[in-house]
Amino acid sequence: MKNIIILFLCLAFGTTLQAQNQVELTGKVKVEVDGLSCPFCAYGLEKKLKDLNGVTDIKIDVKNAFALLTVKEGKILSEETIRKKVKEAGFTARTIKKVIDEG
Amino acid sequence: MKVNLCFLICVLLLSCSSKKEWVFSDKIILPEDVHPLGLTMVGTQLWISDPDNNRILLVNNQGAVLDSTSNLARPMHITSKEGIVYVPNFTSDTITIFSDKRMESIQINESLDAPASVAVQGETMAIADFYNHRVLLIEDGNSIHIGGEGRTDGFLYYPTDVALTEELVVVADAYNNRVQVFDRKGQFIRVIGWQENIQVATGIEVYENQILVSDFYGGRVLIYDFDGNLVRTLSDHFNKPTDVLVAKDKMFVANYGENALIRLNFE
Repeated sequence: MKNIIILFLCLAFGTTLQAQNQVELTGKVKVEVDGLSCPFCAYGLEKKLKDLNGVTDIKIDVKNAFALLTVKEGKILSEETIRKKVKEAGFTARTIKKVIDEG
Repeated sequence: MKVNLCFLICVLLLSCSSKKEWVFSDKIILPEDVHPLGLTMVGTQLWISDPDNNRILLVNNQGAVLDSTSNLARPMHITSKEGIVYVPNFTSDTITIFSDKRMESIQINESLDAPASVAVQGETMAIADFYNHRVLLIEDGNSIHIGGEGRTDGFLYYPTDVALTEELVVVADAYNNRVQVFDRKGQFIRVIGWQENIQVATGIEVYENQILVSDFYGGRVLIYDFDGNLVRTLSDHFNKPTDVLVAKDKMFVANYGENALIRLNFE
């Protein structure tokens, strides 16, 4: 019985972690990255994020260390996909979240 | 009369024996939206790269823009030879050449990933290939690969600039916080700068027998001899310096952290 409970907890915890990585994002997405203050880093990140299928625009805010992506309508990106690209650029994404338009 | 003559001779001797050094001249203020990254001199004309606005600019002594070329893709460390400006496009993996208002891409038979710098000497072109952690040395269509990703001697970690002499290839090994010197066959010769705790070596200039390095986060320019001995550190007036250029006893430093160039005189 004890083993079944442990197995159940592991499965539940694993599923939660997986779900967190599979958050689907569309519209405007803000990616906060540490150590983005040199131009080679900033435009390197821009270059790698441009490769993402469905991204139509990227704005890099070097001063506040984030990238703002615009994802084409109807296209959905997973958080995991974005994290992978950020890593390819030589960084670790601190947070990735959808920006809610207040207009 | 005798005393005056002696005094004059002393002054003359002292001035002859005093060593020339780099002295701050002035800050050249550029238009507000310009953050200069790379510098090159074509004749007596100073060109700067402005990656934030995807263009290169020709500026005068006061920083006014005389000419510009847009539609580039994050142009980084530019260079020139015989009136032609060579531009590495960081986000489109291409090298553009520009002269007499004409622009064209040159064919590179290698797969680049974020070219950060281009240097030309004689028939040889060197490219700092940022995300491939290497420098390509291209001559007569053949290329030599220098570096590869790594932290030890001979390897590179995000190189941002390269300079050529007849015998040497000098590389700003940016995120290894050092400069590396190779021979023209790509063989490692030496590391420079590890004793000075360079924070990020972003720009390189080779002038006469010296190697000048801009330290981006350190806010300074370090001057070394070819053996790697530190000759001088300049640390005033710099704000995130990305490049150094020496031309006719004048040094220009690109302050990426603001819309300005710093000019120094050798006197």
